[in-house]
Parts: sequence; C-alpha cells; structure tokens
Amino acid sequence: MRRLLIGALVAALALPVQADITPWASAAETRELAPDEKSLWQEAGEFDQALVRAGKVNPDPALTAYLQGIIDRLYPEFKGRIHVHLLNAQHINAFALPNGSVYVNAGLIARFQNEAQLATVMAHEGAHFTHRHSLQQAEQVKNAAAFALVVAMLGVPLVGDLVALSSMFGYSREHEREADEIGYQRLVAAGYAPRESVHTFEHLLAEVKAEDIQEPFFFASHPKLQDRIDSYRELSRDANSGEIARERYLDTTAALRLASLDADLAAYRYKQHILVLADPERRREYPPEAAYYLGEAYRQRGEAGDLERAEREYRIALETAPQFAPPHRALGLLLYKRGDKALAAPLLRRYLDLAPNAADRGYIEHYLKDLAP
Amino acid sequence: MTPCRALALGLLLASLAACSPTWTRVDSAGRLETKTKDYSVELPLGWVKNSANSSDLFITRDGPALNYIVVNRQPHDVKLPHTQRETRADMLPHELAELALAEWKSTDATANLEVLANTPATLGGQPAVRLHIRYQNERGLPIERVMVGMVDAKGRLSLVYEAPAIVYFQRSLPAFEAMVTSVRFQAP
Repeated sequence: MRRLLIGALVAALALPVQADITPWASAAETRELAPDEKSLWQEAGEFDQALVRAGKVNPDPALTAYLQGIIDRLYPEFKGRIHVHLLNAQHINAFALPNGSVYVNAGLIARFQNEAQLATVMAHEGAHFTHRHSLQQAEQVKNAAAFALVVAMLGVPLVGDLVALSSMFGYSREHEREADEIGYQRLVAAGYAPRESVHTFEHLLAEVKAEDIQEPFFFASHPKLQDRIDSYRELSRDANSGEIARERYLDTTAALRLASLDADLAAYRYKQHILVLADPERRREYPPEAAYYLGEAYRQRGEAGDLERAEREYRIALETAPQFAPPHRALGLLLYKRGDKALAAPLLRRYLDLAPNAADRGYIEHYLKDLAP
Repeated sequence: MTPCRALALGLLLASLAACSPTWTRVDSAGRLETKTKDYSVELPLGWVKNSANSSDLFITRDGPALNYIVVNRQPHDVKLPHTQRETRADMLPHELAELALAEWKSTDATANLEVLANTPATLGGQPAVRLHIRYQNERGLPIERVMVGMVDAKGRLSLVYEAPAIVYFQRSLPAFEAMVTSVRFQAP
C-alpha cells in the first residue's frame, strides 16, 4: 500500500513545472525565504541531522573538503551555501536537499575515473538547488488531488515526505532535463572537460547492466541513461578540451575506493568489482591489493572456473603486495578446502603473522590445528 | 442488531483475533521447546513467546524493541533475504560467519557495523560460529547482536540475540547463553 501511495505522489510530482519560481542567482538571494520554502529548508535541516545521527555521514575532513572544493568551483557564487556531504553508502546515488545540502555516496565516487566525471554529477545536483526544484515540486504537489489522500494515508508530515521523495526518489523529468542542461553549462564554465560527462553516464549504465537493476534511486524519474549519453555526446561534440583531473582524483580518493571494495565484498556485492577490476585500464587506477579483491569477487560469484580465477588473482596479490595479509588468508583457505594441507598451513601462519589482531584469528588457529601433522 | 450485522461483526472480530499475535509467558511447564522433531531448546523463564512469528521461536523479555531472541532452523535452499544466497552443508564455519555478516551488511538498517567477536563455537555439540556485532539503527541507537549458528546435512540453525547496547544487552545476555547451551539435537 505504501509503495502504491508513494507511486501516486511521484506521479503527482511529474506534473508540469511551475514557471513562476525563479532560480537563485547567488547565495545572497537565499537569505530571505518565503514561509513555504522556509518550512522546506527546516525539514531538510532535520533530515541532515537524522543522517548524522544514524551514522550515515562520513566525516573525513580531507575528502569532504575535496568534494566541497569541486562544488565551489562549479557554483562559486553559492560558496558557503551549498554544502557537500559524503555518505557511507555503496549504492550509486547522489541527491540534493532544498537547503543546499548535496549528498554523494561513497559507492558513486568509487565508480568514476576522474574529477570531471564526478563534477558532472555534482553540477547536476547543484542545479536542483539553485533552480529551487524542491519548492516547485512542493507547489505542484499541493495542487494534486492524490496528495491529500497520500498524506492522510501515510500519516507523515507533508514536507518531510516531500523532501525524501523529491530528493531521493528523483525529481520530475523536466527538472532532471533542466538540471542536466544547467549542470553541463556549469561544468564547461568551471573548466572541466565536457566530454567526460559522457563517460559519467556510460559508467552508470554499465553498472546498472552489471547489477541487472531497473533504476537506482538517482535515476528514478530521470530520462533514460542511453538517451542522456546521446544528448551529452551531442552537447560535447564540438566542446573545447578542459581539465580531467585524473591523478588528483585517484590520489585523493584512493583510500575511499579501496574501502569501498572492501565494503562491497563484505556485503557480497561482487558484480561491479568484476566489471571494473577485470578491465586492465581500470585496474591501473587501483593499488596492487586490488588483485585480492578481484579474487574475492570471483570466489563469491562461484561460477565454473571462478575458483581458478580467484587463485590466480590471490597469487598476483601475494607477489605484488606481499605485506598485505588478506590474500595469504584467502589462498590458504582455498587450498585448505581443496585438501592441499602442506601448502595451506604456511599461508595461514603468514596471515596471522601479518595480522596478529585479525578478527577471525580463532577460525584460522582452529584450521591450523587440523592441518598439524 | 440485525442477524446480518451480528454476523459481520463476528467475522470482523474473528479476523482480528486471527491477525493478532499470540503472546504467552514462558513458565517451567512450557519451557522445553522441541522443534521440527530435530532439536530442542530451553527457553528462559519469564520471557514472552510470540507464537504467531514466522521464525521457529521468537521471545522477548521487555518487548521486541528492548530485547529479543529469535531461533531459526531452515533448509539450505531457502535463500537468505538480502544476499539471496543459500547455505551449504560443506560450508566451513568462517564461511558461514562471512555469509551472516554479508546478510547484515546488505541492509541500510545497520550503519557503522562493527564486528566485536567472530569465533568458532559449538551448538548442540556440533561445530558452529559465534558472531558478536554492534551497529547503529536508523535512529542512531547503538545495538548489539550475537548470533550462534551452524550448518549440517539438514540445513542451518541460528540463535540470534539483539538488544540496545546500553543496559539491555548485558542484562539478558546470560539468558541467551543458557539458551544456546541448552540446544540438543535429537537422534535421527
């Protein structure tokens, strides 16, 4: 029932856009808010706090400053008004709240290759804020006949649900198109390479196909990804070159991207790792430890030949990152299951030497007893 | 009241009664639970059992928000809800622990999940895993959870205890430990 009602509300949000709400030109214009908008901002502020309380926001100051620098470069006249936050979430998602909070998921950052690709998404989200799309949707929704029923049945505050819906379930298709256009202009004006915007959506499309998912939240009511790739390609065909900022991006996000691999595999989300790490070009974006993560992804997938692929990757990791403990464990356990006791024992012992405080030490010691001659 | 109205009211009351969970307090007479003619477990006295729950057993002392123990015995081919993975009889204990963690990490409801302990254990005399985690629920409240689980030829068995980390978790942990120790598998 709730899904049906949310569907009705999303349908209401897809109605034609209100034309009499003008975009903001700078942060100074946001100082005086109309009551409806003030209420939206207040709810958004509460939503900000709820995310912090629930432990969803990654407080890493260096990464947050880096992301903030990108949005400030894209929207310099809104400096101090748009605040970027990094979310500890692996889904490919980003969203903007009515009060200028922009959230970027760690999983999204992990999928991109350079700063220009990430800037494409952030420019798009910034446009939702500067063009006041949440307020426009709030006005539309007030006029929708279904809305009173929806609010009554859901039993939730109007604005709170609207904030969640418009920000996380997606804006209307018109708003998305407008955010794409404005975002693209901002990307060019900030000096980023416009052609990278095409790759942004290509990565997302590849991800969607690999995961066999219909539509992640970020794209819930967006134009089709393939259509967007085509339109960005058309827009950027004659564009001048700009900054890609590949090295800066890879250096700054290295630890986050590695942690993201770990977090994904810990939840058995292995498909995207095979997609990314089996590609030799993408593999170069990661440190040598990545071979271990690819091996784990193969092991988790468990298709014919995957154990052999996993073993090959573990061995590469042992050779290229010999002080990294996990591949010793992984290969040791693979050999233990296979019955290669003589080969398994030294690997498991080496693992415990390298990771004396390992959380799974008890299991490894148990297996080592079993392996003792 | 017309007969028709009385019938309608009766049906409504009957359906409401059918929908409402049945809670019964555990006393010494009903303490020993034998499930699926496969294993038995002793429940802690004074706790309340919900017989309408889809799990093998669902008990709480102070209410499900403050503490609960859930017991499940399932065949291997019943997929886990979040990872959609099955268990296997030949799984090593650490593989079962890895899968349980993946299942918990696959939901947004467990932020900042931290593994406090992950060790081999025994359950009903058979090799098992013991996982102890802490996470923040959607309201930011720290929650602790312990699972003791095992696999055998018939399927998997798990006992899970969960409570808010502050006060409640430690308070009922001994009851859970006693329950785990009481598990006995029936002779085939």
